[in-house]
Amino acid sequence: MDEASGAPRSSLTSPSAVPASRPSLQRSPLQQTWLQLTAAVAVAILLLLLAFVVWPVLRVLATSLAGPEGLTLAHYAEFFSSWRLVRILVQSLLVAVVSTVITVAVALVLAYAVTRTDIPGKRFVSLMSLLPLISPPFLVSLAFILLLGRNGVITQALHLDWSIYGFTGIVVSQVFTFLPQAYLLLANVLGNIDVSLEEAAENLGAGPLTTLRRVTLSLARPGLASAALIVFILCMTDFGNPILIGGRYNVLATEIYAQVIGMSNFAAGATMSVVLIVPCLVAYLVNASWVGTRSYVTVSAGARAAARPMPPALRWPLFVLSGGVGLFIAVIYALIPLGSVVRHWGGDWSLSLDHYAFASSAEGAWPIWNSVRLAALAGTIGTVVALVTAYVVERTRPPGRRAIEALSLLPVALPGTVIGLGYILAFNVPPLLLTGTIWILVTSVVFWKFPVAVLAGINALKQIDPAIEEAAISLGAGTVRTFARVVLPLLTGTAFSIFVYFFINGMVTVSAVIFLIYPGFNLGSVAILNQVENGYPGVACALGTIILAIVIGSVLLLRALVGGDRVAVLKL
Amino acid sequence: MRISLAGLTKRFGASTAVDGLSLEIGRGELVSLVGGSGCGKTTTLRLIAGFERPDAGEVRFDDRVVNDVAPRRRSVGIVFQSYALFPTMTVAENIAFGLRVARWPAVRIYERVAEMVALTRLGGLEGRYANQLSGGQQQRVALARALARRPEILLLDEPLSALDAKIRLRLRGEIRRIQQDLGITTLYVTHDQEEALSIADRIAVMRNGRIEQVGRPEEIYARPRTDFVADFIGISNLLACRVVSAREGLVDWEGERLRIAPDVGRDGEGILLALRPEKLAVVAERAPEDGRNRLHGVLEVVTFLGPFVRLEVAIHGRPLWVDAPHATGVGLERKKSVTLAFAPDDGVVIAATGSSAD
Ligand SMILES: Nc1ncnc2c1ncn2[C@@H]1O[C@H](COP(=O)(O)OP(=O)(O)OP(=O)(O)O)[C@@H](O)[C@H]1O
Ligand SMILES: [Mg+2]
Repeated sequence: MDEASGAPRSSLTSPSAVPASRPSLQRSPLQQTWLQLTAAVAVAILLLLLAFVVWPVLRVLATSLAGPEGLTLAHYAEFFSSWRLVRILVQSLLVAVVSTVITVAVALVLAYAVTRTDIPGKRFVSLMSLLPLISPPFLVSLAFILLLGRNGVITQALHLDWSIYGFTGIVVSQVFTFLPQAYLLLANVLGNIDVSLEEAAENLGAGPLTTLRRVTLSLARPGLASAALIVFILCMTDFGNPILIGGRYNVLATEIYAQVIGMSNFAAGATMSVVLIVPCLVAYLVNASWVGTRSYVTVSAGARAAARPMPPALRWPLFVLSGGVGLFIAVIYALIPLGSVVRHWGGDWSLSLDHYAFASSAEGAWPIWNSVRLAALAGTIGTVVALVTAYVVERTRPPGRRAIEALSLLPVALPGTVIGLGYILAFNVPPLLLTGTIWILVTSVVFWKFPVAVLAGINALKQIDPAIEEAAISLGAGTVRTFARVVLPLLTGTAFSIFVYFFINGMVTVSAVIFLIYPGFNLGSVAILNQVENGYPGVACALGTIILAIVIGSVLLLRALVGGDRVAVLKL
Repeated sequence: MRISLAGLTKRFGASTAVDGLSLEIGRGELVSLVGGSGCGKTTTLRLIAGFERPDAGEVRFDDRVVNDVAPRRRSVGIVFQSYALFPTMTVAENIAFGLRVARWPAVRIYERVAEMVALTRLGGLEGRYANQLSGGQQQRVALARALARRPEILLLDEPLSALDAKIRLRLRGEIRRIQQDLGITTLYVTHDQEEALSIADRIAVMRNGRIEQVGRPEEIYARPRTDFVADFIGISNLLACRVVSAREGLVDWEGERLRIAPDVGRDGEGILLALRPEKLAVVAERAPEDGRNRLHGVLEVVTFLGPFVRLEVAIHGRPLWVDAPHATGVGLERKKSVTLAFAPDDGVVIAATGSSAD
């Protein structure tokens, strides 16, 4: 690498006075071809994004505005004059706000305990906080049903006539489901705060609480805002938890499903979708524009991010709290395999493997095989498209690059239900007749989960010094070969991370794909929902256990293949 | 306030960062702690501030043992190497932080901040944030913040290391002025020997977690007690000699008889003789005998260093550094033989070789 990075300098002394490392100034025919190629690729990506992100959203919007005689706001008038629907909107907002506040608070405590203190068991807490990241989002609900549902262990043991279904159920499930996202973000922010800032405060006479409030938390404020906004979007758009444990407490995401799939009322579903998108989009834009510019986390020279000893009065409560949350998550996930081997939860506690026979339905284990196919396809296609997009955006900077970037990130603010509805509306007619094929599922997963993958690619590219590329070019490597030989190898770790990310999402996602599955093609994650609704929690647990095993197994396998820490688990 | 460190020891796992260190810092004195990277300077400072607890030994302020006193109750002001300014606060808020925490009345905080701003010449910058300041300005804010609460002790950890040479020189003078105006007991950590020599009342040279020598700058410079100190505080030529006659002050180096101050060491004992480059003079080969020692060698390298030339002269195959005025350097050519002279009193005898030569 030394040799290579020295090369551009020597090229500066060449008599042409035009550095060979600036392909834009002195173009060989091959480079010209490459430029045309990247331009063509940029156009292709833009078209893909227009087709698979913008078009479905526009179709939803159009459907919500379509009346018998052209455009109309009648559907919106209907929505806001219906007491029931307005209540659903308020309920959605309420549950999202409450879940967000609790999630961020819990995540803050955990992230603080892990990054800034010397409590024991930090690795365990950290691991447990991340576990929900790789599981179907509603497994937490399922576990709570096993604990506190009508036949739950605790409900029965205490002879309660209360059960968790409804507001409480949704909130507790969402807290544990979305904890990882908030935790990762806050741990990153808190972990980068220079410990000498806290020491300086203490040196100036501040006690631990004053230091925490005036220095540490004050530095983490942008991170907190960001975490809150992201978790708010996740809770607002969450579909799996409300549908499983919401009982009679309706939220927009589930109501859209009921309207569209239950009553085939596309106009009402589309209208609700637009209403649902608005707060999400606002939260997304606030986060992107306002919070993004306000980060204090700059790693300065000599900055140390070390854990500090805590006074016992803080240390032990922190330990109990974070350890307790970690343990509880462990229990939640232990309940799923346990539930799968208990003959009849809440009735017959004897052990059996009956649920794995999948005798209770005709579906058998096939939905899981479908999920694996979907996940593998989404992983492969998604990784290629996301990496190429990242490269085009970060390195070639074609005209329209900002548009590509913005459209790539937009799906963050799009609820899965909206994606699902949009894809039905957009792709049930030629030229893109995709309904009833696996491709509608693959594209929905790829483009809905696109933002995180593209961001990961861009970040990885940012860390690869462009000088390396320029050096390779100036050494005579064509641009094409540079990309293949120099850039790609450096990206393999990221590529595998992105693959894993798409793969996991293909395995566990529900909200978008539940609109898109077709007769004869069910998915494992959706089958879990069906089993719970049909009153077979044991079978749901069996399916959940298999999915968890596949997901965890694939992560471990890839890490073993590619080597340890080069495969990161991406968030969101 | 007086600081006494007695047998201070701090271990990190298997390694010992500070190893039985003892040091006295008098009231109003500025002691500079110098030493190579990783020798335990920062750890010593953190032990005094209370961020680390000693594994053995005591930290005393005046005669009070403060081992168990929390950092925030020690009345110690610190300037961190990274300055550690609070990025969410303005300059004025940074300076006022300690006063707010101590619940000073608002009016007095206002007055005190104005006072500190004047003292550190920060006028006009009160409303800025740390990232809107230059390195030198940040450094002064850090100093103002540390001093605002009128601490009785000031600790500075390489306060100038992040700045460029010119600003470093100016700020060093300013720190010294402020320190003397306030008469505050100060420990100043640096790895720059020149900075230490110019700013300190006394210098403590540290090595491997221990103090190697403490003394006034001129003392340390003129009479280093170990080869390490001699080497660290300016370049020294170190000659491993054997005492021929202690009474007469006669030693043997590579077969040459050299005269040094009498009554050093015992006959037959090995000693190290330190010769500062500027104490060596280039003389004509047949210069008259003047009681100075003569050494004959070959000139190897001539380096022009602004006010003087540095010569590397090989004598018996060993290089000696000589700093000579420009005039001397003019007629010199490489690979020519030269004669060096030094007075018996200019050689500094450092410990017996058994303990210090390496
Ligand atoms: N928190 C810590 N944990 C483990 N080892 C430490 C810690 N702090 C310091 N050390 C070790 O103790 C030794 C002394 O470190 P210290 O920071 O005091 O050196 P220093 O003299 O300030 O060096 P420098 O000039 O590089 O700042 C080093 O070997 C260092 O690695
Ligand atoms: Mg240090």
